Amino acid sequence: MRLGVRNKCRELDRARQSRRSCGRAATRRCLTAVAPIGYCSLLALAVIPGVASGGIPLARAARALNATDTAHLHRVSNSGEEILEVGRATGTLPGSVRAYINVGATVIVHFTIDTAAGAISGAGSGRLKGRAAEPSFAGRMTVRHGTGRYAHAHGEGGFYGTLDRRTYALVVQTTGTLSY
Amino acid sequence: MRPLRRPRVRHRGLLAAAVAVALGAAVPATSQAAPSARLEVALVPEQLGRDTTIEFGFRIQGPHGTVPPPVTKIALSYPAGFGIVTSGLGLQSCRETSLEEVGVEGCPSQSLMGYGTATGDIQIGPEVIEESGATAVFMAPFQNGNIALQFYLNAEDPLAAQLIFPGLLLPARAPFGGDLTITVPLIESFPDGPDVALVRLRSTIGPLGITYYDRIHGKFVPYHPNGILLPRRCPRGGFPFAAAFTFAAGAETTAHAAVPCPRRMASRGSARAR
Repeated sequence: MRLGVRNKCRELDRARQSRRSCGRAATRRCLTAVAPIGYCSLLALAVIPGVASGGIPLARAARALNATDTAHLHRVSNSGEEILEVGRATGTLPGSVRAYINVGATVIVHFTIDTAAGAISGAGSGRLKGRAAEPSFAGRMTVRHGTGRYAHAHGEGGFYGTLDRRTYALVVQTTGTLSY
Repeated sequence: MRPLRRPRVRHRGLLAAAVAVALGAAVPATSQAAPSARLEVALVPEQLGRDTTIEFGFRIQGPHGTVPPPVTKIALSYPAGFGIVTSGLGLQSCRETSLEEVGVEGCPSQSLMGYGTATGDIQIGPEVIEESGATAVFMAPFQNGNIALQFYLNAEDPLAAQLIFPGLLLPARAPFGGDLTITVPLIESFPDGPDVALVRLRSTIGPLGITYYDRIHGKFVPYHPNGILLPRRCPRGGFPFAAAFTFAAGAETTAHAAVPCPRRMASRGSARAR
């Protein structure tokens, strides 16, 4: 029965495309159902991911990583004050990088790093300083989501970048803590 | 911002008027009622996804066409998505000290971002004396994380004065992408005389009529800089612009304009105030 409920929950999750855990969805269903309370409790417990056959939940250890990366990017296209840049990141999380940079009164960066184990996406914003031809910007960034091993990635840190306004070449250094 | 030099009175009419003031002639006080402003903007050329020059101009009037009080602050809001930093303009910055000591020639060619004209009125008794000058806009070093500009005014007749107005590009609320905020100093026409009231300004921000020079192998090579990149999409109702004016008397007024979305194959768009 447990296996059946679990599959049902997976279907529910797929259908809703939500971040709610399988257990929560099932619990909500139970509370609105006419089924006896005892059955509901069993159902909710059974569908918690990582629950052992003995009913003892197994905690999945969240991993944390202090990451420092440097990305060298070049322009693919630009429109208005937005530039699409791609390139490579080296450091703790090496991979290919795709970034949308909005260079207005504030610099806003939306990035995705594709690593061998999955992708990490986030955003940051900073203010311009330095030389007019090659301004630098620094600020805070937040990792919001990911895929693969980094499906539950979240974290924050700082970033520093320079933009060559003649060639649109961008160098960004990031440092921060990533949990996944 | 202080004037670079104290304006010198050159004009005979102005001298006579100054004498009249000194002798106690009646000088009507500048009206305290809210002045009105009219904003005009054009994009040259106006092709989505391509670079352009913003031509903007405004005219300020006091009530019933009288001379308005002096403007102390102008905030020109430009539409979201206009790529000023992504343009090839202002690749170098000009320091205020260079402008003060040498003038326009003291700034690198790659710091020039636009130019225009300004007109001010001086009310002396019943007479209104018009003062005109040339303006130039330069990129300045970033200030506290903000893009900074310098507006240089070179007035010749009847007053000779060189002034620098500092400007900052500040974040703005939608539908605007930024506010170009200019602080305008009070410009004294002559000792104990009325301040000059800015009544008209026309200026460009863009590559139109501008030549930059790159130093390659010891030679200066001229080139035409890339302009302000327009977004690929035009918002419904056109590209919105607004100008907010703050006056010395404390009054404020705002003018709006929208540059209509370009038709296909259109090369020039312009807007008048609404």
